[in-house]
Amino acid sequence: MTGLRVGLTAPARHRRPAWVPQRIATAVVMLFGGLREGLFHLGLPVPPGNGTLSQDHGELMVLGFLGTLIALSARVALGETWGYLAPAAADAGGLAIVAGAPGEVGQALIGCGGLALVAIFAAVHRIQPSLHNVVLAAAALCRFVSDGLWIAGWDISKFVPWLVGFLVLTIAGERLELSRMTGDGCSSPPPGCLPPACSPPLKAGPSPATPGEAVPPGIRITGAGLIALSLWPARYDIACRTIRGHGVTRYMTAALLTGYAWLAVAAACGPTWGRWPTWRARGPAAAPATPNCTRSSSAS
Amino acid sequence: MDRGSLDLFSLVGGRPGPDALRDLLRDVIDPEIGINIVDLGLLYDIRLSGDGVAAIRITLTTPGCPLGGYLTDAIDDTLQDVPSVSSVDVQIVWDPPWDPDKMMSDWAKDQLGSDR
Repeated sequence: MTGLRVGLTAPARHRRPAWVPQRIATAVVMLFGGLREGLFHLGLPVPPGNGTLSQDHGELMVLGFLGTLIALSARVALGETWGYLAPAAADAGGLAIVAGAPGEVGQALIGCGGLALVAIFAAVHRIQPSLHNVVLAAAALCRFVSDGLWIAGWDISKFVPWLVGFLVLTIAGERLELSRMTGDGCSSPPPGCLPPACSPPLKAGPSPATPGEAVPPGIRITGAGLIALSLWPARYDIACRTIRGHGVTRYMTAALLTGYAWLAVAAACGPTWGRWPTWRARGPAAAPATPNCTRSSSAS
Repeated sequence: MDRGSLDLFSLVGGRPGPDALRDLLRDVIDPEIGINIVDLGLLYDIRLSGDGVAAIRITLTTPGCPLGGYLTDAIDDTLQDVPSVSSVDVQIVWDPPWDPDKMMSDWAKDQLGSDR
């Protein structure tokens, strides 16, 4: 054990840190609130939520529900008390949206949580600089930008690439870290894989193609990058080895590989249809299958 | 968990050495990888003081790993029944940074398909 470069000791850890159960419980409230609104837009006979939730349930699921859980995981890893600001702000904002708080209070709180998440990954990177931490920090930045565009009133169809960037880069960063164990001498995805996958934020803004129009190059490139990223595990992710394990290890691996499959399906939607699936919902009476809704959906 | 060695310690009233304690910690599995912390090379140091305090130094694959609390408790659970161990003190350190090339055992590399 020579060649010391850092002299840091982690704060004392506990399996069940204070505040974690409450944060998870709040995230579950967001999950059910968002799911109920999603089912409503699918045309199922469920009672609609409040107006804000009806408009923003897609953002709530990504930035509120998943944002809280990802921030909670990052805070538990860092172990610093101030890190609780990230999940606490995110779930407080999510609760505000579910409860129908006036104004943009919920979005602003979720935005604060996003900024705190960036600070957590910056702190982790200071302990041990690494490429995977940079990727995780980039994911957190995507989340923060999403928050900003949400507050600014952008239609979700315009900034869904930033939401994708938040989730995809979070998983990519975590798997990149574990890929060091495969011994391929390559601690990063194949050349050209991550950059296109990171490109959605760079192309956010242009309107998606309408029927008959050529598919925008940005959507083609992004879709190709995401598909490449979904194929990357076959060579580099230890999931292809740990799937042969047992118990919780196998369960987590199966869930992860299923996620890679869904990523490939979603990635193929862009180049195939010329846009990402964020169809506008029209309410239970006229709604087709709508996996997501837009800010304008409540007006229809 | 194989408690045979622990029973032997109980019978003879002896003190387990670091190697025996290290072997016991092969029961502590990183749930995400499915391999124990000893073969992963996450266990840096283990000492048993005269008053029975087991001082353990471990690291994690990255400071961004949230499993520190889980592994700390798992180590404590594993060693608390060992005769002559009165308490367990687990410290997570980042010095030196974990390096799978140098720190994982050959068995662990083989399990993960490493072609080093």
